[in-house]
Amino acid sequence: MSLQDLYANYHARVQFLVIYIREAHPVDGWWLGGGLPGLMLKAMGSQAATDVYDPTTMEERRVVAGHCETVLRYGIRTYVDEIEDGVNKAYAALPTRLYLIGVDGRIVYAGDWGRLDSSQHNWGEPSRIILHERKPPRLSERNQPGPRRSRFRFDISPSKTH
Amino acid sequence: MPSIIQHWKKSKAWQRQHDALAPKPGDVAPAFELRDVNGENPIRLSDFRGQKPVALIFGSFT
Repeated sequence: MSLQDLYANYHARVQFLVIYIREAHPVDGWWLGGGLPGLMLKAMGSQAATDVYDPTTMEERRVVAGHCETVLRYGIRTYVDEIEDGVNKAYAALPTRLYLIGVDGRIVYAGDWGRLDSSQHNWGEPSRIILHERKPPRLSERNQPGPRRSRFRFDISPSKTH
Repeated sequence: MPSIIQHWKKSKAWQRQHDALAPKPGDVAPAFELRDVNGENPIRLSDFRGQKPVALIFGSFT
């Protein structure tokens, strides 16, 4: 299941936020656009750009983020990290990363670094978490005997269905 | 001008440094407030607490 599929199916139940952070492989950094890496990227059909310099101002960063949003067409509004990389650092997000956060504000899933671009993330586990999302129990149900509930408002047990 | 290998080492060092401090399942998600690509529509993570789960997808163009 792709990110676009996840969003199409679950955006009413889950708030998706794409956050643009510092460029991972800009021309003026760890560039993968030349030589064999560049050829491999093209052969793999990656949508990652290979001609972008790392923005040095917030205005430049917003322009590149807007271009990225237009080209990658996730259909999800993109938000832009500040030039000091505060959110990127807080979540160790570079180069790509996925988190799911429960309604209680706690991390439910922390994805590993992605490869090349977000379309190549392993969406399997986050998909299962979202598929098994459940509402918190009613107050009248909370002290009833039964299976142990997840401490989160996502139920990550693959055996549960709703 | 730094070589690609120097950039690679720098990136890996950054990842090692920050990954150790990254939030893990069960941790409270770090708060933030960001704006969209036009510098508009400010959004805070706390806007969704008690309302909806949130999927954060971090990435760049390269």
